[in-house]
Amino acid sequence: MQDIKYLFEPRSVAVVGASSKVGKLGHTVVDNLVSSRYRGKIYPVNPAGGEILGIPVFHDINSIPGEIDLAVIIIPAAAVFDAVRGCADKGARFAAIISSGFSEIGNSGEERKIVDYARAHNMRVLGPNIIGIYSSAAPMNATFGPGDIQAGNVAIVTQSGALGVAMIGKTRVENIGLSAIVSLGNKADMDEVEILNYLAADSNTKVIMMYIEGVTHGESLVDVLRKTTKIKPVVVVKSGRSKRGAMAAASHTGSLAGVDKVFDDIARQCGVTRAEGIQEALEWCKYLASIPEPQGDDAVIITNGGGIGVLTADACEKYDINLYDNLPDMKKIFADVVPVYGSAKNPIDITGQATAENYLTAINAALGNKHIDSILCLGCESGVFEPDRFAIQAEQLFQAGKVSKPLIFSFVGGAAVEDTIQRLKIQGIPIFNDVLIAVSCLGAVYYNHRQKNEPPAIYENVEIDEAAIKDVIDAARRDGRRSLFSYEARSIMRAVGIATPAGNIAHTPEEAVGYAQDIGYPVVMKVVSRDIVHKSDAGGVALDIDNKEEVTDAYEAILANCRRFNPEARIEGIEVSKQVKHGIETIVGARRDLSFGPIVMFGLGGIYVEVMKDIEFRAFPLSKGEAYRMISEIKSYPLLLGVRGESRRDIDALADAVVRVGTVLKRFHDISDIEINPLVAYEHGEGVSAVDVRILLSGKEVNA
Amino acid sequence: MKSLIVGSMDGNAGKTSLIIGLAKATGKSFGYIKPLGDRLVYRKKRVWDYDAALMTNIFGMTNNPEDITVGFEHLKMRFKYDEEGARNRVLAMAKEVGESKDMLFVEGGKDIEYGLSFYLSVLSLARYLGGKLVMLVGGEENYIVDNVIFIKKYIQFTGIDFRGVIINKVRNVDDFKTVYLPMMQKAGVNVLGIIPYQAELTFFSMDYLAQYLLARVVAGEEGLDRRINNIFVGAASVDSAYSDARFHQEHKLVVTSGDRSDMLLASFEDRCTAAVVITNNILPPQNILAKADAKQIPVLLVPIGVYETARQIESLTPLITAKNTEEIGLMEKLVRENVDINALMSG
Repeated sequence: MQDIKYLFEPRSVAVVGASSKVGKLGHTVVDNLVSSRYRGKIYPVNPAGGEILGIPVFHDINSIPGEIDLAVIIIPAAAVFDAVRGCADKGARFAAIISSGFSEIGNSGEERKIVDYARAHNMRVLGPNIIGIYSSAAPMNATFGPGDIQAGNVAIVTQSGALGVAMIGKTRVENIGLSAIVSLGNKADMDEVEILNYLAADSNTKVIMMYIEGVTHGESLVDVLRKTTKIKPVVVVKSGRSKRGAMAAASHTGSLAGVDKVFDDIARQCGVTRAEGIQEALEWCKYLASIPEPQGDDAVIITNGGGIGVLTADACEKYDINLYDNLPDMKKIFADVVPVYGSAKNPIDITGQATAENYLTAINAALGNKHIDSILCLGCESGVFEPDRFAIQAEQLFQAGKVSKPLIFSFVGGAAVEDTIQRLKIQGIPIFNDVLIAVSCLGAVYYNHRQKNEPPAIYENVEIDEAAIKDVIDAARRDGRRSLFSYEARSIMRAVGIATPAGNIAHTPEEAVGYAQDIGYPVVMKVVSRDIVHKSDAGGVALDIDNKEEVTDAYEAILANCRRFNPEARIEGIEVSKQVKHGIETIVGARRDLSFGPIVMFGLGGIYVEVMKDIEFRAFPLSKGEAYRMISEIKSYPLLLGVRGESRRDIDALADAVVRVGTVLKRFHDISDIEINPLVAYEHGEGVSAVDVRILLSGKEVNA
Repeated sequence: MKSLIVGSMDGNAGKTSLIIGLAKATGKSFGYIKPLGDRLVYRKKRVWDYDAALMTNIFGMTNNPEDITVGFEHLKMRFKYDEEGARNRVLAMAKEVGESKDMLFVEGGKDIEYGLSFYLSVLSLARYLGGKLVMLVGGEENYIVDNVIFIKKYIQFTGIDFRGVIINKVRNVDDFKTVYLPMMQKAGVNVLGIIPYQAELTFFSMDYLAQYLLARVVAGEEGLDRRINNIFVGAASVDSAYSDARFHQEHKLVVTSGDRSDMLLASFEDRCTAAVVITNNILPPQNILAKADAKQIPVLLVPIGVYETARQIESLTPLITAKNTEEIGLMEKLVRENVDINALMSG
């Protein structure tokens, strides 16, 4: 197992495919290494030999004296395997393959061959199809992008090479310093999980930005993201939100994006900040790295215009920023700067008469008050406001180190205002010409602050009757079925500890009548058939059965309907079960997601679930606390709290059910999907009931 | 109380239509029971037979449809009734429905042996009620002859007033009378009528189709009484459909998947489209359904696929509804012109 430190801080770098011709990528990589003041040994490799930038060129890998920590390979695809073999045989620790022409164009076989050989010789592969790697720790720019990367404390991990190159240039313009740029490319061997683990521990990195198109080892990624976001912010831009985007992403690197909603929910679960686009992500990263963390939740808005103040207040609600609302206190704090015709109510309106000095007074008042935790300072160009004077005062404020809490500016105006914005921005002062971006930045700061300070999740060990569950699965397997009958699925629910209505399978009308009388009316009757999955669609369900006559009629109707629906259906019987009393119908599910592994789902259930789609996803494992939060995030949550005089529902039982369902999926790899719809929620203290349960087994038996 | 029991050798021979024709042609007051149902409808926790409901509607009977059928499925019937129970139930039903009527029409099960194991076969009914029995026979001509001779040779009519047979849905009546009738008469069978095939009577209504398929009506509800004569499966492209003669047949039903907006629009625009069934539980956009609403073209939604839907429709028996006065008039005319009603019902 190689120490990833040698990828970021190699003592020696071989450039296989180095070129003396300016303009060639093989020349650019060597040039960048030199210009980045890399302190280790550089070994250009080219059969032609010679010299590049005064460095002797080796004819082949074997000629290189000493060890190679990192080999950067930049030759045609057809020659890459031989180069990898050479590097691996030489004992190189890492190979960063810039060359393209592998799985992204369907050439997966060659890619696998390369990785297999590398791994067999204890060498790790980054890429192929990457731009290279940059690390400020070395320092080392082993990319073919722009050479003048500014060192700093934002790390970028990107699945897109072109975006990676573009972001190098963009960060330079935006004055964002980087601690690392890692291009993942085809992720044939190394992926974001290992890179994140390194960056989480890297003292040079304060913020991590990721551009993702597809997720492969989702379970591991979730795990490392959860740990990383407790240490430093992770900002993600993920493409493939739309179907078109997903298709384009798929063709770009041969990866398939998961369902975006699932990703979005899981990203929040992991504490990741998700940006809409690159610009937003870079803005957030820049300021997350430099803005002090707030000590509390209360923000104030200082503005010289009422309209822009209201806009900002609206945006604060969107980004979950709490506005300080103690009016008497604010009147005292801002007494010196709010005129009679202004307003000390948040947003603090210091009016269009405010000068640069007035702004400074208001800002200092806010900075000096212990009840105010963050400040949004807005302004519209006016006749009395002098942008130049304001810029000087703002610079002095920051240079004096007096800004101990988040302070973000947004000004709107003409050329003078724009010049001021650019002047301050270059110095790293958070200022924007768009109030929404300003607020979103503060929102990102608060989001990270909150989730970082959340207590760690406690995963309880849920007790379930594993032997009973295994028996049911084994019986279905012997029967050659992947789909469990509803009574089997419900027996698994009972083994898991989730209440289900009592029921029995009747094979004759007489049995049906007997069971109905034992269970007690009203009862529900449903067909049991491996060939009829959606019973309602086949006319295989009868509800509210109140007496013996109705039992026999329902029995008859279900059989007739199902035989007509599918004459070849094997009908095992008709299940007679207790009709549950009315409650709020929810849906709880769990499945093995292709990207993320075991995930759980909760939402508003019933027959309209596919129309309303009011559901939330989380990766498993999930603590009960996380399950509570998941439940509270559905739009229909107020229904569970009780509306229009109705009582609160048993949310505790719902959260418990979510965790238990996830536990079954996690422990039994034989199960691929579980869905309870509806899981009826009763009043607080009265629990829940799993009325209809569907469980699918995986395609082939897998040992748990 | 006089009763006429109508049985058949096979399902879908036309028993209900014959009864409707006889009831109209005789002009007498009558009752109707169908002890053994075969077109089950389950609504409001009760089971009833579609034909029974049809008859109560057509003739304004005051009886509830669920009260003129004893049951459908063997398992339930054997559970509920022994021989005496079955007999008593039929007699009670007959009394309730037929008392003070000129005639009680009793429709037998789908074929001659159906219901034998729970004492409700057509021959059992005839014995319980002591009424006249007529057997309806249809199908291919040679098959008809075989069935009729079978009836004569092997069915025991002891205790039953067996009036004879009526041949139904004959494609070429003249040919039948010349070639096949003599064979049956030679065998000593009393042929009381030869009813010609009528294409109009093979239509089915969308209302019935909706119930049969357990479909949801998602547009054009006002047009549910439309009748269907042809089925077109919209699987290929619209261009192919336009060049297919079947797409331009009158009273056609188009079956297509709900995501085929192109086929749906083409269907709604075609004047020959009577109705549409959309499959796979895929609802098209609302603006497309609005076009169906505007033209009162009923659109049904089913969860199953196109192939399965077409298969089920293919196996459906065409039925009429109370609103189909033309078809009802036609049945009356067919009976009046082709059946010896006097020989059938006298005595």
